Amino acid sequence: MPSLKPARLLTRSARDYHVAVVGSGPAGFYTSKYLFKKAGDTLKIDMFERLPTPFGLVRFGVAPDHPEVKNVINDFGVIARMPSFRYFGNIEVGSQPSLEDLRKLYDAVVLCTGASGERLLGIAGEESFGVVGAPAFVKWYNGHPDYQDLKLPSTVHGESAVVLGQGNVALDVARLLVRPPRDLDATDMERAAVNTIASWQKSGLRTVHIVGRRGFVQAAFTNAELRELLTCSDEVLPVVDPEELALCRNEASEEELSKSRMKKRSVDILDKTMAANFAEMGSTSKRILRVHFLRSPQEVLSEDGGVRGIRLGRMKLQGEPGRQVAAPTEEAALEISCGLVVRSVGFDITPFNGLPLKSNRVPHTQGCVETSSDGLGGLYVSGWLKRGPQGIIASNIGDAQETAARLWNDLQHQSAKPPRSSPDSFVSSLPRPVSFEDWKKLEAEEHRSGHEMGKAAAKFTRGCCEGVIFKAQTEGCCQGRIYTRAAQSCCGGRSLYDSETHGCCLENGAQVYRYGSYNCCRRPKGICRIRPGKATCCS
Amino acid sequence: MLRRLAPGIARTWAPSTGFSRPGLAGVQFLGRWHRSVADENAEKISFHFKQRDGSRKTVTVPSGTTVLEAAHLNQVDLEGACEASLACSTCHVILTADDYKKYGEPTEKEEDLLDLAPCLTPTSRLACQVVVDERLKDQEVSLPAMTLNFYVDGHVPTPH
Repeated sequence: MPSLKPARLLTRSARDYHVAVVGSGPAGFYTSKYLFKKAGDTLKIDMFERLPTPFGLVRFGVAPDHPEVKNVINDFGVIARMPSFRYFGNIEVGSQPSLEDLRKLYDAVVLCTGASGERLLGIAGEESFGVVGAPAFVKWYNGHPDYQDLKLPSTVHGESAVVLGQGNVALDVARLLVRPPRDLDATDMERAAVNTIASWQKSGLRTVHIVGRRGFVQAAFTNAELRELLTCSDEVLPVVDPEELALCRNEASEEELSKSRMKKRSVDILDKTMAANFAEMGSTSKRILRVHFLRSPQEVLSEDGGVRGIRLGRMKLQGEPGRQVAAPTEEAALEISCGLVVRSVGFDITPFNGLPLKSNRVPHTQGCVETSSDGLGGLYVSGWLKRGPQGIIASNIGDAQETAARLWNDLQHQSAKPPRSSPDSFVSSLPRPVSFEDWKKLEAEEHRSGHEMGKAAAKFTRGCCEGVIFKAQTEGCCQGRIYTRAAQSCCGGRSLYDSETHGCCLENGAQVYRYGSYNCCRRPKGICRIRPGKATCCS
Repeated sequence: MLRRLAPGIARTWAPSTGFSRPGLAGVQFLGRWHRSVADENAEKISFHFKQRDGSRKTVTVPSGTTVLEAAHLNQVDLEGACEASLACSTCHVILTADDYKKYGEPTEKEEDLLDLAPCLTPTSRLACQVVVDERLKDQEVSLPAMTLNFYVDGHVPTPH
């Protein structure tokens, strides 16, 4: 077993490089792995993660009934325990410290922060209550601390839910809505979410529609997930309209089909079983998973602001094989009565504080955004932030190898290695970061408390306030102090105040002021004392 | 320390970096999910990995080891992200036509995952599902040139 070398303090040898990796998902860990492979002993890596817990979408994106997919965290754990690697959880780069702070301290900074934004459809009624994006919905049922207060309808109108999109995430969402809750509760799925789905099913949720605008040959789902619709439970009947399947097989699609092993293998699943099930749809007592092709949402129908249905237009395929698009037709639209719509049409890049975006991507060459310059370490990207929000865990392997190779090459070829002091005094001044050892203790506790409940694990959905945990739903963290959201607020991230009697004015820094005695003004900017008989703002 | 991974399946967990090391009584094991592979009576089988740069690496492992374990025991560059649980395709390898026939058709589950492996061939398999025995004696197992979407080590793809 390699001996654990003591951490170096204050000085470093001229040969040592120190790289900061921001984000602890697959991109962050694979990039670290391949950097170590290139650099061996001459490299140290510090990883920063906004949440207390590591692993990004491996923890929050993978479906709870797919636990084997998460085995990759063991490989990441090997990296995390290397003596030249340090993990700092609960540190938000971009806020405190800033990206520039890091670049002043490290030879290179690699951003692996992914994509957590929602993509919208831009259709009428999309803002109705009961329409949610899959990025938020998945994080809700996977116990992500920022999404535990996602507002969802208490019953599902029309006994139906509609999932828009046909990637594997859409199939995950649909499958989890119809699987028996007792199966789900044995996983690490958030118990509150299991209970919500259980109550939806109990109050009548019977059918989940999965809607895609093109045909099955163009759909993004893969065979393992498609096949799983058939095998996930005796209580579920997956169906597809055989006539609709036939519509998918236009000439261009047949040509695409002939060239794709995966799509050829999918025909049996759809044609032989799901189409055959269609006849049983009317008489079955099972919950139904109905896959629709060549349908695109035109409008969400609502009543009193809540979703009641969705109108789906009939589409046709147009264009050359490999480049077909969905075009509208004049045929009658289909209206489905439903009470929940989950939009599973992809993620969006959220701009990182201080990082340019060009047509919604970070501009880079082989992962390099900017090589190092006067006093600033180089800036690199890896993962979804680099390629766009597409692909599976393993898609990050080749991507990370490219960024690591480019970064290492750049470090070797720098004209002069800039004299930099060690980042050790910076990291020792970080406010109570969560170490990897801390995470392992938390993980053990999640398993232990989960097992007590008959679950694989019960995830920690709380926040971490300078070393103390708090319930993110009802509490907040204000510069190291935990407060109750109902009664208090945090002004400018620093000042705690009683929200009944005081307000927070951000026009001129962050000022707390007493209602009735002061106002928050734009001209002049800031709080202003109210004088009897005078206009409310001081101008 | 036993770590429960799935109902009924217990695997030993050894604190290691994942590289091979001799343990007690000459037992060589990697820890984590790799099985303990030194059954003293098992026949030792030698076969060859054809690596991405074209070089050949001869390895010798006890019969019963999987091709993926054989790679990890010998520092051959093959990922096994899901730890042999048939949930990824990172351990994709290419067998000779003869060997592919000897080993028979993969299961439907393995085929679903092979769907996603780039540079797929008619004799492709997942290394975690191929068990080394006398069928593989002195044979060659090739690593594909490409991982998902990226070419490794400057490889230029030939049109196919």
